[in-house]
Amino acid sequence: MKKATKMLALILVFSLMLGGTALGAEQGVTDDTITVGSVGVTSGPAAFIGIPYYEGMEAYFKTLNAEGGVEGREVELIQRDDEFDPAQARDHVETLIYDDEVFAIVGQLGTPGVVSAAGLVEEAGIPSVYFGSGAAEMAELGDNFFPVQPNYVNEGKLKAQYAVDYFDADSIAVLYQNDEVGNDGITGIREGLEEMGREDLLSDDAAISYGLDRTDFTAQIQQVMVEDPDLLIIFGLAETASLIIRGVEDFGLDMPMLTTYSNADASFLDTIEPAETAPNIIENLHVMAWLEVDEEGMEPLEEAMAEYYPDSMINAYTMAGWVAAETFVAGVRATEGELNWDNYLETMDTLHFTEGMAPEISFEPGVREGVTHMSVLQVYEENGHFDFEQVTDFKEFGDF
Amino acid sequence: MARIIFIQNIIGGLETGSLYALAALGVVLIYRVSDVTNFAQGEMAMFSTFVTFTIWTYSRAAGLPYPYLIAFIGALIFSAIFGYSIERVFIRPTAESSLLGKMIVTFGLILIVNGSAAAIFGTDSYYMQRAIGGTMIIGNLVVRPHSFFVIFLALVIMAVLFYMIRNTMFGVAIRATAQDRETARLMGVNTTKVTAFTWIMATIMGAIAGLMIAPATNVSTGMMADVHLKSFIAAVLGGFTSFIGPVIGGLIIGIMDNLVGYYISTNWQTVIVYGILILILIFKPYGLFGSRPQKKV
Repeated sequence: MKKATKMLALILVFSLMLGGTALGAEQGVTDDTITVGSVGVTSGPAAFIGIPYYEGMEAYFKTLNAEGGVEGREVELIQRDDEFDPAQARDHVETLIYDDEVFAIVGQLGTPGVVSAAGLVEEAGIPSVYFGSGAAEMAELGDNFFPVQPNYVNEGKLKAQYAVDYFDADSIAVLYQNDEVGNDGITGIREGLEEMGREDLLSDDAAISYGLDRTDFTAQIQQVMVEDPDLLIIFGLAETASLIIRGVEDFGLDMPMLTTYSNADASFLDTIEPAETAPNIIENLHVMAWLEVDEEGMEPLEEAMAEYYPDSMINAYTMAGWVAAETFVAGVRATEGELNWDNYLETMDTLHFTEGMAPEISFEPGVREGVTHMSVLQVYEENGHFDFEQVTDFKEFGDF
Repeated sequence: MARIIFIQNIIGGLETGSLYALAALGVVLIYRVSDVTNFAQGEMAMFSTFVTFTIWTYSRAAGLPYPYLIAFIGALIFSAIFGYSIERVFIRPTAESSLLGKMIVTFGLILIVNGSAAAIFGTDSYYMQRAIGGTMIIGNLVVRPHSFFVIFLALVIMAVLFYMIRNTMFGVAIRATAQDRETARLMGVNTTKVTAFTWIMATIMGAIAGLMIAPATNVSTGMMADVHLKSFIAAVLGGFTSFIGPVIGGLIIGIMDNLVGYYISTNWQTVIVYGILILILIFKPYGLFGSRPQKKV
């Protein structure tokens, strides 16, 4: 009996070990399909980001498949909704890797979820291409991570430089949300100012944090009023940033404002409803932007959306989803030999892709900074409608 | 300048605190009648707010006069029906189950109501106007008339509840039901009606709270999450067994939050405020205005 138990234990251990080594060899790839997975929010308050984002991604894959796929294989996307909950995100990523056995994670959306699942992805060694996140941590996670969006530290540095060179500011105040997004952002701003030798622009009192649970920003805006800066930087995502902008109007602060590229879309302005809540200050609002798209560059996306999502608007999130999909496929196209993790990772490690919607996506061994060139957009009003227009060239830190 | 900033933070705190108070009063009403803590109060308020928002949007699009007033009246009517339906379908059938069982039902309601709202109204976030728009400058103070309307509403609802419970026959019926449901029934009180009516009233209060909160959070399926949590804390701080307690508790939280944020630290704002509240509860375990619950025999 004891011998039988020992044998059973040994068999279990060996099967687990074999299972471990089997993971990833060529999973998710058949002769005619490549299955990829993604996790992001498509319900709840942040769904306005995830729904168009995944429409953009699906539109790309559907168009690709209709044209015969990539290297003869169609791409199938399994998308799971994490409701912007990091615990759910981690569980879904685990399911995608070990139960659905996808070939790659493509475009995981949302910083909290990405950070939460990062350890799993790193341990599995599965390719993870594009993150709907600007967490700087992505740059240091490992060789199987391929971030594309700018990270918030780099964005912060660039904001510091624009504050000096474009806004001509002698003092700035920063309202930043107290999480990875805001903390990375304020770190970047401070690093940027330090590298420019302009630490004097931002006093300690003018770096003001806020919790994500806030509905009242009186204390924070009062602090900004006392500082009376030349530029107010709002390093926060849409939900809180829109409330802050309304507060700025209420308190009559008339100064340029600059917020993150995550808010660089007209749908963000819709949540503010500027005509009613911020008519006097909305044209002071600027955002950073990382996608440089002319009419010709938009054509493939517009055609695909007209075909597959005719009732949906195209916005910055749709474009981001599209870029995630095309970055993944660019890697597949460039992969020589059998499509497996080793070959794909080796190819992505030196990918230099310029034919897509983003101006340039490139990786070097050990370098995972994402896009570093950004421009500034400003709100304008036309016939009662508000949108953004580009007011600077694309530049990276140190470029001015 | 220093005095202006201080008062400005107090005014901001009063507004936010009133929102917590409004949200908490419905929870306290149901608790006083049935000992049940309705954890779904926030989600029910959110659902009613979506209905109100929909009426408001259509009224505006149709060019009807006073769309906000139409939406407000629509909210009252809908929430009365909604509250009764919830009580009739989910609460009444569980009348004989344990308190824990009833509270688990309200947890289930959170998921049902939230999921239904997402399916019916979608998951986007929408702007909702204030009851009274604009701002006024008084001296150097920025004052939102909406803030005073919210404070006024919270005080009026509190006073009405207080009066009703103390001075009306229905209040006597509520108190009798709360004291001992069986004995109240034997004495001729229709406890089923009393419970249904309290759910209707609580849901109406939730709808009003949601409508007042919406300009500060936008209308979305997650709009009540943080407010609801803080309203519970306000109720616990003030005392779950009184109506004045949640109002005072809400105002204390709102004001302390702003003062700590401005004068001490925005980084540690939440930690310090709720740390102080826990300290208060150590010395006043039943809240500032609460009383030790009497054991029913």
